Amino acid sequence: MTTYALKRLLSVIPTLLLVATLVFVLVRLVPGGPFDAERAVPVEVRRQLDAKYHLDDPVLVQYKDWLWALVSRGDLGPTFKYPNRTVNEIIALSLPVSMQLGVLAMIFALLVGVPLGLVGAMRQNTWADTAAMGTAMLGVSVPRFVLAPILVLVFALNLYILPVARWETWRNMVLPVICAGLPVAAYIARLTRGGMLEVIRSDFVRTARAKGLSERQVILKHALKGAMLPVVSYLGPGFSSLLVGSLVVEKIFNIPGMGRYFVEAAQNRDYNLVMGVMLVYGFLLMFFNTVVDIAYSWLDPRVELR
Amino acid sequence: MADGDWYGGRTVLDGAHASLYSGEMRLGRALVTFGLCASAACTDDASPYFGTTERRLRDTKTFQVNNAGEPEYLDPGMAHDTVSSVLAHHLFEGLTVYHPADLRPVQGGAIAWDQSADSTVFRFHLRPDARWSDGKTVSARDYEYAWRRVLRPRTASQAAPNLYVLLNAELFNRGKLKVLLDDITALREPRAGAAAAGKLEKGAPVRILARSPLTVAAAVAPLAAPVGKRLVSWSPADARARTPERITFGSEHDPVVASADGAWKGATVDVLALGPPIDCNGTAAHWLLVQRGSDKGWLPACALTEPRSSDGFVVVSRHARLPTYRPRATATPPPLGQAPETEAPAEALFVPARALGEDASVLGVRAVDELTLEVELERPAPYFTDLTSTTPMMPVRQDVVERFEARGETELWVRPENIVCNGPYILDEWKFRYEISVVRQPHYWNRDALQIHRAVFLAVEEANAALNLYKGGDIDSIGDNTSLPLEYMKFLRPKKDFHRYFFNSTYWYEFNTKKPPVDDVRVRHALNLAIDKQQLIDRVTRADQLPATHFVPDFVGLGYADRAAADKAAGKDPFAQFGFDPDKGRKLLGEAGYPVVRDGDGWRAQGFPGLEILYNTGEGHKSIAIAIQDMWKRHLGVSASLRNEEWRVMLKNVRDGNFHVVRFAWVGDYNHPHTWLETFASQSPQNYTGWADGAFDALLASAAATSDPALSIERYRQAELRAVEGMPKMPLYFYTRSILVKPWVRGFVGNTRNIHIVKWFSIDPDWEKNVGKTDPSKEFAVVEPDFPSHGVIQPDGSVTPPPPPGGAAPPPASAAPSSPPAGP
Repeated sequence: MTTYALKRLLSVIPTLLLVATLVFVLVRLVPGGPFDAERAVPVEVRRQLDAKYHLDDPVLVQYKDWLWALVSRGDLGPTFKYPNRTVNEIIALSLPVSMQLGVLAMIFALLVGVPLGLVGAMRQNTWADTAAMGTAMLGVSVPRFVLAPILVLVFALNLYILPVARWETWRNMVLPVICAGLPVAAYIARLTRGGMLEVIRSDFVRTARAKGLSERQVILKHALKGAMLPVVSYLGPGFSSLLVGSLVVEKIFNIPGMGRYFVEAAQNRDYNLVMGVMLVYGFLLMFFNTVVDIAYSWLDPRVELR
Repeated sequence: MADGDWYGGRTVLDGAHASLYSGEMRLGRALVTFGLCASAACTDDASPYFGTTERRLRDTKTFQVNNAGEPEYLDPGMAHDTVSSVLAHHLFEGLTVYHPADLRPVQGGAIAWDQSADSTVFRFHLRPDARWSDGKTVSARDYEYAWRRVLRPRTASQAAPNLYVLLNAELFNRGKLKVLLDDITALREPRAGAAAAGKLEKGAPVRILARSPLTVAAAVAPLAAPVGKRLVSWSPADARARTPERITFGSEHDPVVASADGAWKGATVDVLALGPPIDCNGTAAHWLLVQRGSDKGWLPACALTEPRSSDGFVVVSRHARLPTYRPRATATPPPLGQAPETEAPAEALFVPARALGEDASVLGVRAVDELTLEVELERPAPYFTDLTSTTPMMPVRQDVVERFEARGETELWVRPENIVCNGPYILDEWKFRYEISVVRQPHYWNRDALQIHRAVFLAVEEANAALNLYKGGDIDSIGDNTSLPLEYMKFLRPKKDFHRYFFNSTYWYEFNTKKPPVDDVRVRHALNLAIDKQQLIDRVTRADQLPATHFVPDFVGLGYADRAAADKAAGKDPFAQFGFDPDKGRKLLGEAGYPVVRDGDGWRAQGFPGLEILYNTGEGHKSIAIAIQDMWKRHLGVSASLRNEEWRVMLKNVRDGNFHVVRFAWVGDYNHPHTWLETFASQSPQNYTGWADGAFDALLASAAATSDPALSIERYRQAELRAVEGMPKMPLYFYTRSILVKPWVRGFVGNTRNIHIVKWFSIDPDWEKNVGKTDPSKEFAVVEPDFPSHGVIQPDGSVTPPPPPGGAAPPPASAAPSSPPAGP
């Protein structure tokens, strides 16, 4: 399994390189540059700015320099919009915040989603199932930018029990975590229910019941593992997108995370920052996909890692 | 500045931050609005204040405010956006600072100044007790260094154009003004061993005309700007029309060879000889006879860009105009409409490029001694003392900046652990994109008067989040840079903590005067006459903006507001004729060849080819564009389509002339009409309209050169009238700002610059007892003293004492109503 993991992680490198190259080219194809502002600066000032950031070099040379700095020093370069921070600094400041939010949101999602799904599956076609799945349906279809204001309105502005925004103590984290985690929880609930329904009818569960195990043991010890397969495969992309942050949640709750850079950096033509956040996201995505594949083999003995 | 970035053109207001997710957010916002009002109904609709009146923070010496974003630069020489500017005003202090209510310059780093009668030479006397945060005296050398640094080409400051009023500043900043590093013999031709053309001494200033070898590569760029006398013009290649890029030369000298069909693009040419002088883009230059391979041809020197290599020869001319710090001529104003004479380069000499160096002493600023700073300007600027309170003119410390420059980490000198500043506050903590806190600067000369000891600037970008924080009592003020969502206005308007005041900015539409059908001035006027601006404000923008019939806001200081008010009172408003008048508009459109006929209930302009309105993505711009589209249809029968583009894409298209009508705005860099009218000048880099009018240029120049304040303003009004008559831009409204400030904040009065410095404020814990008993404009914690009347610098350098109070020469004072008229 170690060899497999290593092999998978090594294959990340060429993929990331490909992504980086593609993004590098695309972001420069967009009209307008990082120093375009409403007030036109004299050609000469503009030229000095370009020279300062080596934007006057041929694109191939820029690409080579950028890649070399990254490979040799792990340096993602300066940002154009925040001249006194480097891309590395910005990622180092914002990624931990996003990860904190992401991990908490994922824990919340699992704690809510899995039990909800189980209830639905165990009490299939009863009012409990309908209620659980109805909630899940709502959670999937209500987007975060609707959910967030409602949460703020109720808990912060009417009940005055939680802060409206910002990122200071655990109290500030409650609403954003719920907001980021709820749609994921809803999705997980539906996946769990579906997975469980499939597994419950399988032979090995029937065998377990035949052995005289209690229903509780059957579910938790035997069925759950199998039922989690679809959830686990969703966790890869789900986790990586939660970890790098959500633009909407970060904006509404004013959280200094990384999510906002995905849109902002491109708008600002902040080439290096675009590259930086894309690479982080790409890496996390591939990393978690690998983890998911490994988890699969543990959950389902039929899956073989090669 | 345009709105958004700031310095004349700052774009923060509404330009740059048009968002991709605005659609999503709108829905969320609507929900919150609904919720706010719903909850307000049961909790505080009856309250005269918005949100809680309990202050969350107990400490009355700490002030919390939202600054709505992360500053790009805290370095005052580099700052060019509003977020940075607000912070720089807290950390640094210029020669003058402005009065919190009417913006008149009051004592800051300087306690007195003398100036020449024609406003070209200034001498500032510095405050002897001003100290940097490390305890050192703020010296005239710090100002000298700061201004020179901003203008130094390698600093690449985007705020540099704000200092172009200093003598030689523009040439220096653009790398066109150099000095000889050694005694040298200049040559007549660009090759070693050519005939000598004259001796140049070490240190002699020269002006670069062109370089050799020359690349014709972007022969285009400098020519893309509007051309004064139409001697040179450039049109880009048009793929659709299949026309090649073309440089066209006027017939005056008729040396047209440089076939600009692209064949010469990127070529390296030799300069063979110098031709007659030429005015290209307002820059005096010479024709150069150039050779490429076997082809010979003439090119204007200004059409040639500099090659990267420092080898080869440079074509220079001697530059005579160096600062003398004495007024040059008597102070008689030039005749109306006549521009001051400009010196044409006399001769052209070839010198090796490596013989030239940079010397900042050619700039019109010098420290005479520790506490005296002398300034000489390129042209008269009656608003110069007003300008000295702006960020690029604030001092910085050479030793501090250079220490970080030497390490290649220039930008890091403003980090809290490194910064040395001279303003009322100093950086305490900088949490990136979260908050910046400042505390009292330990050596600030007026430190004991400061009532607020610590200020925290939150970087909450989302207006709803900021509103929620304000509502919950977390922040004391919503801040200068938070734009209140329009849908709240009706609800917030009656609240006592709601403030609305005029803001130095004009929203306008710019026409591409090169593109039919708006190349016809009658069409442009017709389009303007068909806009009911009052209705636009009442129905669309809804924040009590002032409808604009002209470009300079009615409330601009330094005499303009008084003049505008007097004209209106006397019924002589020269711009009244450009107000809403659809009948006249239809008539004009008919004269232009598009007769407007009845068509059912409405009108139809026969043969009118249609228009496209370009704006950057954003709800506000969109609703305005729709309203204008509708008014044009309704009153003129003209069909216009809408095109919205992401901000930077739009800027590119505007610069390429790829538009009919585009939305823009201009925020004044300083409190004087010049900053708006300058953008109409034919050689202004801000002029995208293609409108170039010699008469306007001359009027503007003579207005600036007129030292008598009243006469000068009179001439600015004439220049403005000329611009309105040309109608390259269609003025829509003068801005207001709407913000919320908690009732316990004392010393807040809205000012038209929209930068409110925390030093003016204090927190009143017992505010409830004082409601209605106080006059906010008399409660500033700190107001610096007024300057004494200034002495007049005579041509021999002596200073005559100021005229006695009540004398003939009024000191520049600005009068600005600080709030819009109260209305329902």
